[in-house]
Formats: sequence, C-alpha cells, structure tokens
Amino acid sequence: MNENELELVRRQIQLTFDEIQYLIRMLYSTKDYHTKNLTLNQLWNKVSLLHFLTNMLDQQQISSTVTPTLPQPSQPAPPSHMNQTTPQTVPQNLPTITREQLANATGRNGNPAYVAVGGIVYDVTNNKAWSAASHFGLPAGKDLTAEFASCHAGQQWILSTLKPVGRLV
Amino acid sequence: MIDPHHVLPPEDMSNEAIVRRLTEQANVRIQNGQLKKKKLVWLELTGCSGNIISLMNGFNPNLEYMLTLMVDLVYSNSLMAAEGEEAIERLMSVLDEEFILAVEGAVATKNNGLYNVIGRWRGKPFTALQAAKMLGEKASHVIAVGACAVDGGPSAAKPNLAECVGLSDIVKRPMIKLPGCPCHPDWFLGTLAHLLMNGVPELDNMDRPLLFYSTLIHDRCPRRPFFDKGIFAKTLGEPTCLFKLGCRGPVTRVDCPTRKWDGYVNWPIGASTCIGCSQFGFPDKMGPFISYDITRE
Amino acid sequence: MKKRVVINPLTRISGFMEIDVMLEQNKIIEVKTTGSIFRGFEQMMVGRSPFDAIYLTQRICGICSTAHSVASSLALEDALGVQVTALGRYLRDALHCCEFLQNHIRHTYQYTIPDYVKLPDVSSIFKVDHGDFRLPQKVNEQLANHYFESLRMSRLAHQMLAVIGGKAPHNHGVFVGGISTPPNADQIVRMKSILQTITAFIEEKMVPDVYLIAKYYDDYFHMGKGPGNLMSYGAFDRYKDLGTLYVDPLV
Ligand code: HEM
Ligand code: SF4
Repeated sequence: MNENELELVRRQIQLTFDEIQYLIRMLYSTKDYHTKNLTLNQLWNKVSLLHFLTNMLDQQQISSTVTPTLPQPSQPAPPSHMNQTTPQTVPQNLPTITREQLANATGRNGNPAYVAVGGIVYDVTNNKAWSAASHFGLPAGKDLTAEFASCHAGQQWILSTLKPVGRLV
Repeated sequence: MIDPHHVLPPEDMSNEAIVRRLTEQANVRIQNGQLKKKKLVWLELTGCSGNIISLMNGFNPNLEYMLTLMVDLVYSNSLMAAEGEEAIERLMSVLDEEFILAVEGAVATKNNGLYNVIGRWRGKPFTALQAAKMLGEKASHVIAVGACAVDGGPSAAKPNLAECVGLSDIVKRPMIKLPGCPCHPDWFLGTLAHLLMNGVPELDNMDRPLLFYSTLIHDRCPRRPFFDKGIFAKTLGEPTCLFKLGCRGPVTRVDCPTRKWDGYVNWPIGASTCIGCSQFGFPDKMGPFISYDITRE
Repeated sequence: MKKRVVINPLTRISGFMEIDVMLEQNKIIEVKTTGSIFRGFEQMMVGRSPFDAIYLTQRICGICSTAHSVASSLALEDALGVQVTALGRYLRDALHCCEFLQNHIRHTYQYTIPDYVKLPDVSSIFKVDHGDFRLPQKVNEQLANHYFESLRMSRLAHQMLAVIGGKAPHNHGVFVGGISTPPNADQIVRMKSILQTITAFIEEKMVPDVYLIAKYYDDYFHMGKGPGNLMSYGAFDRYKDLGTLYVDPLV
C-alpha cells in the first residue's frame, strides 16, 4: 500500500465514524421496531467495516504485503493453488484467548461464536456455514482441531476464509 | 426430438418443462417399442413411508403417469392391492427378472433386523434387513429414496435404538442416492426418467444426481440479499434472512428454492428455517433446527 | 379344529402391521395385531433442542405428519405456558385440516377401495388373486375412475397445506403459538380456491362412492364389531366464536 492508498483508508475510517454517529442518533429518534432493527443491523455492518479497515492498517504496519480478503467460495472444489497444507498467513499480533474465554464464545445469548483450529481462534459468528453457531452437530466455543482435520482434510483454504481473532493459550 | 441436455431458450426452461421433456421422451420410446416398461419395486423399510406419499404429490409427471406409462410397479406396501403371502410372493417373483429397486427407509439392524418386519415369508418374519440384502443384490439399479435410505436419516437419530443404517451400509454396490425428507417427487421421477432413457445420471461424489443436487440453497435463496446486508430475523415470520435462527440453507445443496414443493407453490424457507433435510447427517448434524438464544450480530 | 390365519404385510396402510387370527368352526376366537416397526422416537427427543421436536416428530409417519407437529407444538405451549391467540389456533388448525383432507381421501381411495373395486390392468400392483368383489361392472368402472381422479385431489390437499406450510409431507408451518409465517391475502385466496375443487369432489364423488359400497356390502356392518370403547382427545374443538367444529374430547 502506498501513501495514497493509506490516506484513502484513513478517510474511509473517518467517514464510517460519521455514519455511525448518524445511525446512533437515528436510533434515538425512531420508535418503529423495524426501523430500529434495520438501523442496528446497519450499525453492526459499519462496525465490521471499521474492524476490517483498522485491521488493514495494523497489517500494514507489520508487513507491507496485504493478503486480499477473498470472497467465500461457495463451490466445494477450491482452486488448486489454495489447496496447500501449509498454514495460512495469520496476523502476528493477535491477542491471546484463554480456553475459558473460548468456552464462553458459544454464540448463544448474544455471545460471539468462536472456534479454535490449530491454535488459532476464528470468529464464525456470521460465517454462513455456522448458522445458530453450530456446524454439522459441532457447537462453537470449542477447540475443533481434530474435527477439522478429520472432516476437512486437504481443505486448509477454508481457514483462510475465516476471521482470526486470537491465539489459544 | 429435442435432446433434453441441450435445450436453449426460447424453449421453456422452467423446472416443470424440463421434467416434462424428459418424461415425454421416455414415453415416445416406450410407444415405439424402443423401450420396454421396466419393472419397479418400491420397498418401504424402516421409516415413515412418507416418500411414497411425496411421490403421490408429484404434479408433472404424476403418479398416474408413472404407473401407466413409465414403469410397471410390482410391489409397494402402501399401494398394492394384494396383501399377506400373496404380496410377498409377488415380491419374490421379481428376483428372477430384471428390475429397478427403489428403497425408502433405513435398515434396522438390531436383533438381526427384527426391529422392522415387513412381511412374512414361508411362515417366518421377513425383515427389512433381509429384504434389503436380497433385492439389493439382484436389482439392475438401486435408488435410495429419502434421508433414511441414504444414511439412516431420522430413523437413525440418536440414540438410534433400532440401530438403523443407510442402505449403502448393507448393500455394497453402486447406487443412486436421493436424500431429502421426504424426497421431492421430481427428484425421483426425473432420476427414473433419466435412468430409463439415458442410463444413470451424472452423480456427485456422494452419489447424488447433479441434475438436482448441485447448488447451495443459500446461493439461490430469495432472502439472500438480507444475509449479504447482515439483516437477520429474530423470530420466524420476519421476511429477512433466517440464518441466526438456525437456517441450514448454507450447507445444503439441492434445488428447493427454484423448484419448490407440492405443485411448486412454496418451500420450507417460505415458511420457516431450512433444516437441511437433504444434507447427509440430517437430523442430528443439522440441529438445532430453530434456536432463539442467538449470536450477536 | 382350530385354524390360524396370518396376514403380513397388511398392505395399504402407512407402516407395517401383522394380523394373526385364530379361527374355530369359522368363528374368530382370538386376534393379535402387531405393529412391526420400532424406531423409538420418544428417546430421540431426549437432549434435543425443544423446538426441534415440532419438525422431528413429523417423521413418525408420512401420511399424518402434520398431526405430530401439531401435537408437539401443543406440548411445547403447555410446557412454556404460551397462550395461543384465537387466530393462531385457526391458522394452525386450518393447516391441520388440509392434512385431514389429504389423509381421508387417500385412505378412502388408495387404501380402502382396492378391497372392493377391481382396478384396471395398467400396473402389476393392481393385480389380486382373490377377493370379494361384488360391484356391477359399470359401478366398478366408475369407482376405478374415481380412484385415479382422487390422486389429483389428495395432491391438491397437500398443495393447499404447502401454501402456508412450506411443503408436505413434513411441513415447516406449524409452530408454537400457531404457525411460523402469517399468510397474506394471495395465499389465503389460493387455498380457498383449491378447497373449492376438493369440496366438490368430496360432495359429488367421494361421499356417494362410500354409500354405494356400503349398499353392496351391507353385511359387513355386522361383522367384527369391537367392544365400542372409543376415546378422543378432540380436534377443531371449543373455539371461542365457532364452538366445536369436529369433536370434543370424550370417552
Ligand atoms: C464434524 C465435522 C465436520 C463436517 C462433517 C463438516 C462438513 C462440511 C461440509 C459438508 C461443508 C460443505 C457444505 C457445502 O458447501 O456443500 C462444510 C463447509 C464448511 N465447514 Fe465444515 N465440517 C466439519 C467441521 C468443520 C470445522 C471444525 C470447521 C471449523 C473451522 C468447519 C468450517 C467450515 C466452513 C467455514 C465451511 C464453508 C466453506 C465454504 O466457504 O464453502 N467445518 N463443512
Ligand atoms: S434464509 Fe437461509 S438460505 Fe436464505 S439467505 Fe438466509 S441463511 Fe441463506
């Protein structure tokens, strides 16, 4: 990323903040249930965007190459170059997450849904394959390294579509 | 004659039209003697006998059409006029002939199969297990119809007291699998038509015809724009995406959203969540079907 | 001299059954009926998410699946202390009625008629070697035609169910508190239109057909009478405005 692009990201962040403020004011002024819901959802979207943008800046500080976030492939057959078994590059500066914290991230009652694979904790809250924070009978909030290995052998690419949020300690 | 594989607009491309074209072709060939009506045996094993009910719900083609023009149905517990020994004799008589076998229901294996007796033969109980083995080995083609026949389905749900398994665990041979709970009549009749005209349809790595089971429900779902915008329903009845409530559309590959059910009027996500009934592992691996203690957004 | 007659499979039912009869001088002295399938649905519910019961119990039976979803949702309402609105009840019961129609039409024509009517030689499943066929040829022919016509009607009944239930068998419409998604005017009028066709068939063909058969087999009314102890949990009963439309719970 060059200076110009960096500037672009910063402007985008500023813009998102403004939008968030607007949405919060909106939340106060409306009584309609559905509009409220809609606004809340938009808020969440904006926060995700912020998250994404700040992450991008963080990464920028560590290494100058940015791995583009790929759209989630919906066909089971991944392009062969993604089929490698070496672990994907994950950001180095992830916070540590204890087993206890992981166990709380079950995705129930407003908690996020996290799963750990190979020592990295991923956020699957809004991953399409994890509706109701469960996936083929597996609940979130667990270390599923063994299950992943047995069910998705040779499909390491799946992990690269997930958002890493921490290192399991 | 139109080759059903290479039809382009302006020909009608609707689901109904495709099934109709396939069956019309079969019909033409039956009438000019190119094809002889094959015998079909429909075995109901350990299940709810709902796939035959679903088959009766077929609109185009329908059951009447299948019975009179596509195949000669020899055995069906739900429909046949004969009963008792006479019925079982009929079943045994096909063993010497060529026949297609359609099986619905899982195979109960506990106590040598005694958890599901489907008749009496020569004075002894004739179990689902015996029937599956006996007919499965002799049939020219085997079609496992519905979730139970494919991998045990609801009949094998935990704790699976009857020790039910899918047909392929009992009969080791190539077969066509049509999961779904129940199987959509078009999935069966379309497969049957293909089998009669062009042989075994192209299958995926889990033996399901690509004709019907290739696209994720989630990729064709009319609620998808809501998913992409992160607008999720908090209760059933909202028109938005049901993901947070436990919708299994994102892991289920079948053509429900475009085909729809019962004369093509509606489909599960038109009413409530998808419960992944056409995905292997249903129902245990698809639960919870509906959950209200949901994640943050 | 005692004689034992065993009928298995008892075909044209949804499921598996054996009838074991002991005869003495042409009189039945003992009968045993056995349902010959066991899956253990009660045990399957243990440890499962409670709402899943509504969909999973439907898999008990393919021809009456909606009844099981209704029963499960009633049980859940009881457990959760949910008060159902009158409208919720009407909608759910309307959905259940569609299943009733489908079930009754198929029971009458596909499951029962082949005992009285010789069906045309279009498929091997219609062949029987013995039977007590008494209908004159013309009547027989008419009823055989109705057999095929009824297939369309029962199909329509399930279509009507699917309009608000999503699909049938094994609907997605029944839920705690009534139904999962409120119907719109388009769906309601669609159901009403289908219902009109089915009603005409039942009134003009199905009911007269049953009377017709009863006329030729009137001796059957005096055979095999049970003890007459019947029980009902009630259905479509005790509505606030309409009263009972079908049966109250009674013994
Ligand atoms: C019991 C073990 C598992 C089974 C049987 C299983 C099965 C599957 C199947 C069949 C699909 C493909 C759905 C389709 O597109 O047709 C899938 C996708 C997926 N699985 Fe799993 N899985 C298991 C464990 C896991 C674990 C532990 C993770 C944790 C990270 C995971 C993450 C995913 C993701 C993210 C996808 C979506 C991939 C995409 O973007 O298309 N799975 N899984
Ligand atoms: S309702 Fe289900 S299938 Fe449709 S978009 Fe939402 S998650 Fe996907």
